[in-house]
Amino acid sequence: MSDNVSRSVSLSAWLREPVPTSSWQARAQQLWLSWRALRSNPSVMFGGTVIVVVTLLAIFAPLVATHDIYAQDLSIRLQTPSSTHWLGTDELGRDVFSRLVFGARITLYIAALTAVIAAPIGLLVGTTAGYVGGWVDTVLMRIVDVFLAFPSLILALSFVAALGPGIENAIIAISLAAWPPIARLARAETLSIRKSDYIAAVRLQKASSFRIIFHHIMPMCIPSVVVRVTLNMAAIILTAAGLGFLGLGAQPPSPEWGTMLSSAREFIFTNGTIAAIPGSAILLVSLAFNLLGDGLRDMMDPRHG
Amino acid sequence: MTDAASTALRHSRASDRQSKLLTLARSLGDRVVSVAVTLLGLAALTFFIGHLLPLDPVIAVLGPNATHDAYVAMYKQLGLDQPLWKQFAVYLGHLVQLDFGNALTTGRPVVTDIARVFPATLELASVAIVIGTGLGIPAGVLSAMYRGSPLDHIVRFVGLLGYSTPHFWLGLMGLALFYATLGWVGGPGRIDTMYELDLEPRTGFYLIDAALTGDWALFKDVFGHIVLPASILGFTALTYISRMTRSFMIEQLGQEYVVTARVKGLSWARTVWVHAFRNVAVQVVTVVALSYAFLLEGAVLTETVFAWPGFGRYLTNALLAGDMNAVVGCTILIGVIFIGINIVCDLLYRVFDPRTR
Amino acid sequence: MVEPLLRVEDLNISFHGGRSVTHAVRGVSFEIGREKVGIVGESGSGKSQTGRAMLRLTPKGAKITAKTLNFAGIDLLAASEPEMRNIRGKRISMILQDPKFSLNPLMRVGHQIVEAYRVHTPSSRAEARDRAMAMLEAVNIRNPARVFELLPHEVSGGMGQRIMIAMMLILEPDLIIADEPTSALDVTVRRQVLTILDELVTRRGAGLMFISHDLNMVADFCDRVLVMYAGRIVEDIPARDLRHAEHPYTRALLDSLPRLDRPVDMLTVPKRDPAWLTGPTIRGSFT
Repeated sequence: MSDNVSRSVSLSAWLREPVPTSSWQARAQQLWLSWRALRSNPSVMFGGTVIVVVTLLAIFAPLVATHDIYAQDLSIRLQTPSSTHWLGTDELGRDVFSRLVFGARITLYIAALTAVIAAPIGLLVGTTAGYVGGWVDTVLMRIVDVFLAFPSLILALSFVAALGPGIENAIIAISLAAWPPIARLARAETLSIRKSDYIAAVRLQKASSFRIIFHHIMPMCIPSVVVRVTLNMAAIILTAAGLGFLGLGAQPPSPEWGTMLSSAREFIFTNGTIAAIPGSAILLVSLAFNLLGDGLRDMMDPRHG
Repeated sequence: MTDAASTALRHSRASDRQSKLLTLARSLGDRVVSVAVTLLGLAALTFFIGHLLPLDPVIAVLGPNATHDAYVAMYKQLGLDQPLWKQFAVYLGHLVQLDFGNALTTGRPVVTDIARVFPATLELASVAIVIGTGLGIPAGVLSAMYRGSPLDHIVRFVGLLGYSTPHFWLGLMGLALFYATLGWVGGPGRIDTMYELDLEPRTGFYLIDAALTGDWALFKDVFGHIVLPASILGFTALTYISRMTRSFMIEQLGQEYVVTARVKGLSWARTVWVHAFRNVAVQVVTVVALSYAFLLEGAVLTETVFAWPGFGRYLTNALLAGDMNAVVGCTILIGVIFIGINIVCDLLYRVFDPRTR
Repeated sequence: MVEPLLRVEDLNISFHGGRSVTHAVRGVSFEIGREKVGIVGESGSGKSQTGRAMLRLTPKGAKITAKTLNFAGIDLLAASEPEMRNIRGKRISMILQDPKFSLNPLMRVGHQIVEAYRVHTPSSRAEARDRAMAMLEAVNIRNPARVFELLPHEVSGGMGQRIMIAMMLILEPDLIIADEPTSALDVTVRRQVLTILDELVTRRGAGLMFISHDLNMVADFCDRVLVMYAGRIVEDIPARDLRHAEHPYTRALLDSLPRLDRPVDMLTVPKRDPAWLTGPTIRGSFT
């Protein structure tokens, strides 16, 4: 129509136009509205900001860190924060701040990988069980029930004990404990979606079950799964830290926060800081994920809270 | 009403009762089958976990220097040459008899080990649940009653912190502060070594045993040792209980019968506690029961921090030593407890909430 | 001239949620004596909120202002919360719409009636129980002893509503607000419940504020009708003069009701005139 006119209109006016003239504009407007909604929610903003900051620190860890994280210097062990060592030194003289920053990498790596493994498995199992129904549903949900019969930490611990300590095994173990609740959630959503008219319409058009599940049902489940995964992220981080603390996760001298706590344990009575700091870091990141998840859930379903 | 009519009514009422009993029996039967299947799945899962172990079970028994013949003999003796499903059947048989094998670390049957360490955890969890419930329920109710007030925000924030804190870390910090620095509480362990001989372990619950001896210093010591770990565990239960209670209460306070109560002239406090709370009581009880189960999970890490000689520490040591018999035994026990508590919650709902009948 | 029981002048109720303000009730004025007054309007006209405001039981976030809000000489706006608690149930009470939801599902119905009595009257349990039984009989429940011990989900809708009436009238209040008392009931049962309500109200000589969306029922049952639209009263007219109503909205409502004596091919749908949002109230007089 009038390309010349749209080019001379400012960005903010373009975003606010009541009737979008192209699908690209419509999409952009949608994104902008979602961003506005997110911005008005303080929990989301705080949680999101913290996570972004921590992620940036993790990505740019080599640039941010002040010292070599493996360099030991027993002459300066267990020092309190100073100008050279911003958060002090640990029991082997290593710089706590640098180790903390690299530890953020591990924590986020574990969190991200677990989400990437557990969420798709949970979604797949849940939507299939919910849509296909019958004995497939019964069998799949039985399996989910068996997994859910254990507290997630115990389950993760048993798997790690069987597979052997190490960060990869810890990730597998935690993922195995994390997918069942997602499957439950996805199934519940699927059950309510599959009764709707548009699914019936697609079926009348002879779409295969496969196509229906992947193209229609799964996308509808994604918002609640995302919220749930975000909320579970805090628990995953805590479980990973617990495994590290027990010596079953990342092994020393890895700067994983839980592992740092386990070595700091003997020294808490003399120098409380080296135990307080990694723990506070875990607390902060968990809190951020919880706030983000809470905020997202409030936005999607204002009845809660 | 005529005689014939009343007899007919009585008969129809009786057959009504009969059919109600039948449906109840059928649903109970369904439940039992479902639980049995889940337990079977549990056994399968733990069997699978046991076989994941990269350790060679024959070497674990004989040691690394076994001769070839001894190895083969032990291999046959352990039944490892049988097909997998036969091994599973044998395994199931053992499970049913509560035979989890012997623990590597102690050499004794796993069952006896667990029986020995469980009371310590039970005592810890029980004190913790009392703290969690005693503070958590009022916090949740008050939070809902005065929704949006500063009290509500504080309760919710504390709850959020509780969800985000690594509890074992909190335990460490607590020890550093209250034990090392302030000296207000006892240190790791259940009891100071100097009192250990004074305590006759009759019930396995040190608090009760100490109270029974009448020795005040002894009781103070035992109490001082349990108060910190129980408070920390209690705190984790508290956050869950208060959050759920608040959520349930908010739902109830939006109901019409609450308006009716106020129309009658009842005060807000009376409306909340006498009317609304009654309607959440069953849900709250199930939440408390579930928290109890979760405390078993929390105990694993807390007992490590506080060197508490309970079930959690036993499990952790078994994990670190690769003692699969003990690990599997503990895992099954926890699974069974969880399932059991879920069944109890279900039953509570059916019995106490007349609407589900 | 008898002093009216309830005098409301320039009542405003607004809801402040986030950034927007909703004016649910705007400048409403009326009087209720010892008579049956019906308040009729569609959903969202503000009639329910008006009723709740009399008891100061509007939802959180609602702001009530009025020039006068006077009940039997008591200023309802200035009254303290303990004073209001004294009034609620004893001098003004309210019958809610659906007994499935308005009765506590876990409490026996008889005990809920007893509670209503004992909140305001110091009495023994036996006395209160007797009074509750008497009320159950007064609302035509034939087996009061059995019904007393029932739970709300065990009684039918009509019986539940009669129990609600018993509960709200046991202390013989001067003003009764009925918020859509028969809307949740089967059509066949409505007449029964209304008859009982009528009997008890007339016997006591109380005032009744009957809130409903059913113009026919209100016209039949009440002495006077207040028609509400978009938070305002557009017409105030004696029930028997309803067919001579003057306000276009009232006329439109009347025209949209099917009549046996004047069959039409299509019922008219009221066309909303924005002038109704701010126009004057037409008050008919008792001729």
